[in-house]
Amino acid sequence: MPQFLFASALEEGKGSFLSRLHPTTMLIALGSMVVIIFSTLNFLALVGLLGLLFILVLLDGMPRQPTFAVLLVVIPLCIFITLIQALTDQKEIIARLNLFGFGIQVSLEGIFLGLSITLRVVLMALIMTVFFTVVHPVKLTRALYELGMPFKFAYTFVLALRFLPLVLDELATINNAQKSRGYDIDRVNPAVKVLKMFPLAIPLILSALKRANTIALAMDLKAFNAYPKRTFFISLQKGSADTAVRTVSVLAMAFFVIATCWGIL
Amino acid sequence: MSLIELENVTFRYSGATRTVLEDVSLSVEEGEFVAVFGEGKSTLLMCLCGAIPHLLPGKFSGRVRVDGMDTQAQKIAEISRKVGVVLQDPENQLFNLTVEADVVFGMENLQVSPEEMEKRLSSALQTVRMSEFRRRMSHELSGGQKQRVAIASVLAMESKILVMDEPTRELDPMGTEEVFEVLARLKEQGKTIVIVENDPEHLAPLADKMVLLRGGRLEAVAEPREFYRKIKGDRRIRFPQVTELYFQLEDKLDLGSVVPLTLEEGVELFSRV
Repeated sequence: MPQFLFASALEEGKGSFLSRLHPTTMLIALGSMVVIIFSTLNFLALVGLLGLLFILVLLDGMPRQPTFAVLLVVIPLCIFITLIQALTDQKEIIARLNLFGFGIQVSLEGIFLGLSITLRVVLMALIMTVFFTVVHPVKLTRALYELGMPFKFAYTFVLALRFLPLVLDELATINNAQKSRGYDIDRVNPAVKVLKMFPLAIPLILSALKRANTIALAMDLKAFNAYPKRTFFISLQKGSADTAVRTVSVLAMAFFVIATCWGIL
Repeated sequence: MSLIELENVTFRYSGATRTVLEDVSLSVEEGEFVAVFGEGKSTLLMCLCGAIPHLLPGKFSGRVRVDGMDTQAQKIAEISRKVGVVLQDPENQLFNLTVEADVVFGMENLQVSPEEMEKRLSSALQTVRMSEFRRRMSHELSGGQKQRVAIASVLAMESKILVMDEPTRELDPMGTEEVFEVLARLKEQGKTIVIVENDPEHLAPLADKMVLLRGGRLEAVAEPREFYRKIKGDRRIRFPQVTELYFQLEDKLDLGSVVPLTLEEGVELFSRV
């Protein structure tokens, strides 16, 4: 059965400092980090940010396996980006090679630019993973509702987390059923695979629609979204740590934006 | 006045040519446990909880009253305060990540205060014997446990009536046993229950009244012993095995007129012969 990546991570990360912060604080910190990451391409600044994030993950008692596992997924993309930049940039050529009769030049500036873009990708992947590891989806829903998002939209995230594994389970069942009839798409060429997905996709879509109807009925019968306001069982507390994290996040963001505009970074 | 009253209810789904319910009139008293069999049973339940005519499109006529409330004239949210619904597949009724969040979901929608929620949450989980699973993730539970959480989520809404549409259909024998244990406890507590189920061995000792629908019309309504006698020989309905044996032998042996419903009753009856 497919595992709940977020839920299992969340169970392990319960005791971390970040998981005790108000979700809105984490949203502000996340937003600030995104702005910082996209405000500069300075290699050293991005390496510094990555180092800070690593220290945070290690010191905060967050589950390391799911946090760092995401890096393995983006590393091939990063190598590809760096290679393309190194071979296509025209400045500071450090080597000229002859490969199968083709002249290839390697640019030092291209390498650094590629590495900086790579760092952006790694940082984005890491902060998103950290965010969803430490912020409880139910609390996030509550925070988004408090920030003015209609509950039916805010709740979509929890609903997706709950039902996505069921849809994946259904896909596995349909795949096995088709295999037992001799329709095995695992053994075909990847290009043909896309076309061969139809006998899996159609029953999956039909069963997902049927399930969606039943879920909608069950939710309506529990008065979902029937009244403009709702109460919440869990309460969200905002403490001095929240104020500190919010202030540091906004100041750091302002520093990076101003420094980049002035050409310091 | 009865807790549930159906008066001449007729319903046909949109686009369908056949009428599913035709001129059905039925009443259920407070605290009764009613089992429904036959064709159109799930549609009947959907009428009781207001899903028909509010959520499922079709041509509806007649009147359904629950606790004095006309379901046609009320919003579905108001009806949900009176009627709680448990559907077949527990997976489709648990929308949240944890047991606790699922049980409080309906209460949050009905704007119950957090203090009151805590009381009802503890009590509902206690009733279904799931208190120790309160902080567990929903996906970690077995089918029977999930269905018990679904029942708890409805109990926490404190609806007077519990409507259940084949709650053990997706469950293994262990899960089925767990759900029927909860139902027996709810019956003892005086909860009004209307259930569609195909397990005569478990239903017969619990039911106060059994209802059979044929071709959308009400064919039989009676207490279980009388009900099974009325429909004796109907191969479309499953009888408790001991009741079936009684009907097979009653003409050959002197078994008396009391129809046995449980294994204990059967053992006692047949040991006298």
